[in-house]
Amino acid sequence: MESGNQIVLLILQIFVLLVKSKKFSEQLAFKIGRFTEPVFVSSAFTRVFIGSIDRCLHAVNRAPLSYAITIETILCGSILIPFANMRCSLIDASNVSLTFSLIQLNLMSFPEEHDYIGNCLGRSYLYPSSSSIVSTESEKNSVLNLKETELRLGLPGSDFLGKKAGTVVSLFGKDLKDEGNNGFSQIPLKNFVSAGPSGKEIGNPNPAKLVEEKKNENNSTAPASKAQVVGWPPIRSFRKNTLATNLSKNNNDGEGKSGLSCLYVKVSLDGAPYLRKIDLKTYCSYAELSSALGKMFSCFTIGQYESHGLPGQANLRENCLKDLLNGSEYVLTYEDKDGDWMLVGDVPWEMFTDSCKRLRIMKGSDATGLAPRAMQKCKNQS
Amino acid sequence: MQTDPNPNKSKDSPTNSDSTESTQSPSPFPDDVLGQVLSFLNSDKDRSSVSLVCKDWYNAERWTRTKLFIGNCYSVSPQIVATRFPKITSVTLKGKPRFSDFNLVPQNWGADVHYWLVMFAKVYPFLEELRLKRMKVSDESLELLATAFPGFRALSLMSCDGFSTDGLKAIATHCRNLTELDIQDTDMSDIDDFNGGWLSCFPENFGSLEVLNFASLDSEVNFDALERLVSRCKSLRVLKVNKSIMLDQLQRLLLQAPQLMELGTGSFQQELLPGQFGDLESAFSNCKNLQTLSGLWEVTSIYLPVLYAACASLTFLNLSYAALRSVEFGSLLAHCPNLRRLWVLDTVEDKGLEAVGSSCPLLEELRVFPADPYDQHLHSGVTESGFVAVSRGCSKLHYVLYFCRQMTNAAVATIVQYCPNFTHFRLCIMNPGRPDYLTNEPMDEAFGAVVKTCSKLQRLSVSGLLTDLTFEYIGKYAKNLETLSVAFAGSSDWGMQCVLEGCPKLRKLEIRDCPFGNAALLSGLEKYETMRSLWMSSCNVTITACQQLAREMPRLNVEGQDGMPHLLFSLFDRQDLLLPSLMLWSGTRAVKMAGEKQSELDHSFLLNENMRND
Repeated sequence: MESGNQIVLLILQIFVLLVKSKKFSEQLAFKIGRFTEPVFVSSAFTRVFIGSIDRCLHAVNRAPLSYAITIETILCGSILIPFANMRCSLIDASNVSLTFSLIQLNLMSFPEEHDYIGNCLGRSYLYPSSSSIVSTESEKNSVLNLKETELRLGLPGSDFLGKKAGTVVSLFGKDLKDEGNNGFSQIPLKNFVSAGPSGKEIGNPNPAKLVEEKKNENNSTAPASKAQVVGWPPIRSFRKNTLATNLSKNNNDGEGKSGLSCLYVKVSLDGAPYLRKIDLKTYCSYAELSSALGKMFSCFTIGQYESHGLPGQANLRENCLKDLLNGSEYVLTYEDKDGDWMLVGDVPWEMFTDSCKRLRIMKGSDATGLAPRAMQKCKNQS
Repeated sequence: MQTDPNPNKSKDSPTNSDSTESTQSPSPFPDDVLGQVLSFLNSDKDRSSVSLVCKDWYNAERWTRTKLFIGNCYSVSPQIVATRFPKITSVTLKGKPRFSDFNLVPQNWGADVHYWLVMFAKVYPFLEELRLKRMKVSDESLELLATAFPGFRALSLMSCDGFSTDGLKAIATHCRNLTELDIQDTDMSDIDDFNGGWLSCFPENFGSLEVLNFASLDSEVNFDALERLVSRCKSLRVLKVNKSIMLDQLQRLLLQAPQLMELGTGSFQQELLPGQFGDLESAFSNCKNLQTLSGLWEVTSIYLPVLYAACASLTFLNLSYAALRSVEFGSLLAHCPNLRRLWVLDTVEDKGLEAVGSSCPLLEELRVFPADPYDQHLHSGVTESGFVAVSRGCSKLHYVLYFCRQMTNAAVATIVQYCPNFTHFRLCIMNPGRPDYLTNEPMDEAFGAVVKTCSKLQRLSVSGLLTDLTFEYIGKYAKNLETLSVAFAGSSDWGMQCVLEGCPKLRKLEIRDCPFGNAALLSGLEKYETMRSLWMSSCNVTITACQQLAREMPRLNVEGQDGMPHLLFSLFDRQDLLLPSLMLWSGTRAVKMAGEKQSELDHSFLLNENMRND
């Protein structure tokens, strides 16, 4: 798995480098499933697309999750790409074909539109011809009826895109599969954690925002039912963060859950000289949280691990906190709204993020007596 | 007072000592008299005017200037500053554009103070004060600051980032004469000092602090060290603690410092015993000089009464972190008759604002923040009637920042009738592009009324559904306008053109998500040199216009962010690409490149006349 990922990464990087070195002609042609003739898109589109891939690379470098990327595109002219074999796609050396099917980060979310293709990249760049005039959406759509093949960004595995969680979304839809180019394995995708806490990266492949498009990109992985505009309303982050933590405490009188953009909690590790702050909203599950924490505090726990004489494992950083904790004497606990310390993992994730005020990685010996209370609370609440 | 060395013969005079000397009539003032007179000038604007009179005055001014204000750290290079002003003791530097507060500017945009400090250490070793806003300050910079300037007294960091408590430790340890340590609105790096040890680093014989503000620091602090520090510093007049300080601790602090003029409390969420409650109450009543009160995190109606006794002389009450309801808020206000500035959350609702109108006749500034900015469907918060109520009761109101979900043209017209003296009018209707909710018309007439009636208007932020008409009004009437913030507004290039042609004093223009394009951008060519900066993001500007702008105005710095990884810059025929964001300011390209490593600026490209394609 690991080496496969490396290969994919390498190939992506090579591809990107080739584009950079101008080995491509002005236009890349993408074979779009429904059409038998390749559809030429302008170099601008290509650049946007490449930019997105590059961003994806960065994200991939950080997220230790498994993924599947198939790259396959048809190039026109006299371009050669000396690619190595990828583990999950078919590259026909004579055709020199690379097919793109790529899962994007949720750089745009349009909950109302259900398209059978779940990817999107700046509609304004998908020109029907080689001219490079930026046209409005409706024009383009009518010319080539591109709406159905429109690329759209969305959360991988999000329900509102009409796809089941865990499927590989392919640019070319079913056609490719029918063609028998099915060397690629459909490895289920987990959610991508976006490339940074919300708002930190200005990944904006679609600068052509019309005034009507009020729903802007948003880097958070919060469900897009509240499509938030970046930086709006204009409130400073310090104030936002403070209000967010205040609100999560004063939420008793049925004001309703507010769509907080972030939820910072402190994480302390017994024995470490400093503590960290994390945004719980960037994680969707306990697994993600524990892996993130494991990376954050690995420098401390590794020491512990080795001192206990346990056999060293390759890539200790890869192990998530749970594994480390299993072998060592630490447990992850949290302080909830009522001020009680509970073991992490007993309650559903949403309930946990609602009630967690701070996290503490404490020695197992200190955590005795926590488990029964957690169960009891659960019963009381349910 | 330093007498002027003969500036006419000064070799390091930055002005060219050419034959203009002979054509000027000799100055009627002897040089040292001129120097004396000019040393009384504090306003930067006045000093700039003075320096333009003649060469003598220019030199006299530069030798007597002690306070340096640089509104955009990239508009001038440290070397130029060092050459021109030899006697600076106080520096104010502002860095990132204001929209960086709202995550619209990439993290590594720049504005690192370090290369400034390196220069200051060489040229101004007698530096006493440093005030930074929206700059990146590393721990290394703070250490340099602490050690290289023996007379350093005052440090103020507003919305700065990049440092941790380690940097503060350095300041506390080495600055023997520190009188002011003021840290506001900071998002500290997420490594927090577990033990709050930085406060303990103040030496035991250190007692000169007058201002201590660490309200926005997240970390716990060592309370004993804080208490001892407060008791030693007899001149302490401003103390703003952070949330980690509890009520009983606050009470002890107040006992040590009843002379405080500005107090920022810690957290109010604590179960107090009756005796403790009484102690806290009496501690507050001992503070007879309190003018500013802030903090009040998690305050509840039970504990508000302890504040009453201290509110008689209050002029500034900052409740923007306290989610109060209208009733308890009204009761509190009844005790604050002298209030001039008030910051609240919209949980007080219109009823609370009515109380403001009736209890605070002297009010000059009101800021209403949203407690829950992202919930679009919640019908809570304040509406136009609250604003009208305040304006009815507070005729001296001239500064308002108001977040609401609905507004009408008629209400705004009424408001400015009651309060025609607005200098800062910042209205944020939180749903972008929202029309007048009663008439469904655009909000043009509202802002038209504002600019027509309020001739002293300096700062305007518009929101709601707006057409070009709003900007016509602004260009036509807002002759004193210096700062304009626009979001999700306008219909065409004409709007922006109106503003650029019509507002003579315009200094800062920030635009996001508006349909202004190249024609609008290029219509302001001459204007931009008189402005501090222009920010446009998510508009219809392409790089062609930027290149043209850079070509025609060589002294302008044009920086575009295209949100793309650096590799795309080599694919340069991207004239048709719309720029996600653009910022321009006067200054040389070298300024931005000099201090930062190129790799840090990968996200953007800078253009000027000598631009290269790489």
